[in-house]
Amino acid sequence: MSELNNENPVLIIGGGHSGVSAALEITEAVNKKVYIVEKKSYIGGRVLQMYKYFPKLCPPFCGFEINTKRIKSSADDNINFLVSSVVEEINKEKDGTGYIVKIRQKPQYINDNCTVCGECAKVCPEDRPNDFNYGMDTTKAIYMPALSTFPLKYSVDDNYCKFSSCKKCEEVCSYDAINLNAKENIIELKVSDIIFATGWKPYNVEKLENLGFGKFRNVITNVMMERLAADNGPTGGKIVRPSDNKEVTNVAFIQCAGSRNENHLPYCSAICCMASLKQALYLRDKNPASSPTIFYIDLRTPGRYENFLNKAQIDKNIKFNKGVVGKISEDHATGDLLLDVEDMLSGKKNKFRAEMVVLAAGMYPNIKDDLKEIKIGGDIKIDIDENGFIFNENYEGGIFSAGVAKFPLDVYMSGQSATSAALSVIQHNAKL
Amino acid sequence: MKNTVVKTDNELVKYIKEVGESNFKKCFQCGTCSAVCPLSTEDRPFPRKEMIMAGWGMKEQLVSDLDPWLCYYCGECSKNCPRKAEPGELMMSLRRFLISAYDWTGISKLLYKSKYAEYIAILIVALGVLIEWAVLFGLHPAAGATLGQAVSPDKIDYYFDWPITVFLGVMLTSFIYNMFRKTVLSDAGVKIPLKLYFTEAWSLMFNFFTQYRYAKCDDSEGTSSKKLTEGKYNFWLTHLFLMISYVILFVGIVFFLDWFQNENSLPYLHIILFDYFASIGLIFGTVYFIVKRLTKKIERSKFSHHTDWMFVILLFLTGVTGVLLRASIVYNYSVSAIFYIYLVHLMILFPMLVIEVPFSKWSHLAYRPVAIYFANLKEKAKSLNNENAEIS
Repeated sequence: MSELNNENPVLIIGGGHSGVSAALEITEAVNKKVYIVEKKSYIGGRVLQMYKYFPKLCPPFCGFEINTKRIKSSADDNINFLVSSVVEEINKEKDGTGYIVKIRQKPQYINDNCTVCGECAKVCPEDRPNDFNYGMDTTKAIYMPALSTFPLKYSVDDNYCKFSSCKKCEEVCSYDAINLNAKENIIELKVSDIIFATGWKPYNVEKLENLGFGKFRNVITNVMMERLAADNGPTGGKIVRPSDNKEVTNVAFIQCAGSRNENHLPYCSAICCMASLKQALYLRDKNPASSPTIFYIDLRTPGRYENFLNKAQIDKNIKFNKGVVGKISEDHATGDLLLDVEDMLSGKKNKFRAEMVVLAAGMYPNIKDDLKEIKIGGDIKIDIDENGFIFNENYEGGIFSAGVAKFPLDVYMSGQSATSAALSVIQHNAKL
Repeated sequence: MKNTVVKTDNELVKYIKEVGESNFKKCFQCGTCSAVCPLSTEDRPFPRKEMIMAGWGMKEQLVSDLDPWLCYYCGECSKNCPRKAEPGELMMSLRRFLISAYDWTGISKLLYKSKYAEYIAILIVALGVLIEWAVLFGLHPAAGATLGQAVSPDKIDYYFDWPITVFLGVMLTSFIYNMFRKTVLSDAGVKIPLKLYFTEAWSLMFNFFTQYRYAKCDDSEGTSSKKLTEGKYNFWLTHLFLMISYVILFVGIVFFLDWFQNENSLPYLHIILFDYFASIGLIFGTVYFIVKRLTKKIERSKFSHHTDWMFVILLFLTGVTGVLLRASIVYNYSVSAIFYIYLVHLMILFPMLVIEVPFSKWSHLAYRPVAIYFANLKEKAKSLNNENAEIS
């Protein structure tokens, strides 16, 4: 193998499954440092919020945990994490050998002494909505972000913490792990390459006014459904509806909530059909009396995923309705939802009653909004397509993308795209 | 399910594309449009099926379809269409197609396809009126003649009003019969008992005089009075006002023409009904729709075909020249001034009647209520058949 230019590290923006995978692939293959900049206080991103994910339907504990194990066994400080951090500026190095990056890291109130004993949260008087569970429950202002948080420590939500007027947690901590006076850091790095692994967020389905999300409590999104089904979720894995905590049996899944819609997201989000099929099976597994119905335009289950569709279709209690829902109204007395929909195969239109509605929210690329926040030097070329994905990789410049920053992908394919980005970085740094 | 061979017609697809601005070829059959439609029923929802029928050029199915007439272009489908395929506009295009399909002369098709054909047709009729007028009354009023002598109401009746009434009546009746044949008789699955034609006749009258389906376009919660004050019925009420005004004036002119040519000792009713109510309705209504079509703020006025413009402009000009003519009589203008205003009025009125009524946009006035009547007949007959089947 030719020699590698390893003077400067690689910057990976985003510490989700793709970013972490790319970091591991680079550091395990060659002697090069990487920096992962993660907005949240932990790495793992959306994968941690899944109950189970494809292709093997494993929970994050058997999936993403492998990555954290690989991180732990990697050579010292080859992978560096900057959590609670955002990239603020990217400029070209004057000699053309890479980029100067300015990163702002929020105050690190908790240091590595933390043993996650939990005494601090017990005394904390402030509650905050739990974003990990999409606001379906609350935590204290000092909290453990997720069960398998890495780096393993508590976090402080500075929107809710009362700081100097309270300080109860600081007083109770017997490991000297809390410092509420911590200040933010500005970090400047010189990097050779940049991988955008900025991931996605569910499309803001409130914009689909006809479907009543935000108006009717029992209309939820597919990502919320993952949390409802998860054993470490707000309901301990019981699929109940928000309005009255009733265990639901008759659930409507509405496909293409935002996706394939020129008024919203014109593209197919690629994962929602599989997600709804999977979630219909959650419901069937957890409650034999349940009967989910999937409302679709067409079911997109590429390649071997077709087998998964067959599995769902064999179950006679899972119903399929060709024809999407035009409008949802609420039966105020029961909290049930009434769906206006055409069953295309019979050619009849009907009002379908459901106890809960799950909207298959499309994938919206974070990078679309993130790029507005980052100051990028005018001579740096980042090709964004009309939907906000980074499509054309800048090989000469060493700017690559992985995961949903590239286009809508599932976890498995995100891993592949991360490997591809890692290989591109290595090739870019090979001294010929 | 019965296997049927669907015959498709590419020329028809092209024609439908030509007579409107729907992107129906973009449709991916998601069913949003039928689901959000406030007017379509559970048994035969539209316009999703029309989108695919148009996309494939399924002529037989399209010609026998009454649903385009049951659509009032509320616009919910177009607003919510994820492909921006404009299903509402497709239903409009299909109404244009149906008008040309019921018309056995082929004139409608020509007028819808080419705006120049329409201009020429209108000029020909206007010229015909001029020639007929010249033969009957000359090109100048005789010196010293009264209006009654210069333009005899009897002659207008004999040579203009009554022939046109008979012509329009014959044309429309034959077209409606054609429509009946294609939409009701062609449907072998439905046999309509004779009695139903009479018991369902109320729906014909009711829908003609109320255009009530417009009110159903807004299916949001809320009382009718609230919707009225919020202006949600404005389009419907203006449309109704215009239509009633038109009917009043048409009937008045054909049967009571001498009232219009007489400036004094008129029945009070005449002044209220013709000079005020109907004149205001005609001019206010046409101006309202012209403004809507220019501003394009609501779905149903977003696209305007040349026949839409021609109809509303001719109607407006008919109204303006009519009011001018009437004013010139009431305020005793010179006979020669009235003579020319009268001629101009007829040269606009007659093209409007001859071209628009049987062959173009006006005909929806007849086809809409008739289609609702036919649809009711079919639906009732079907439920009767089902009941009978259950009994036996």
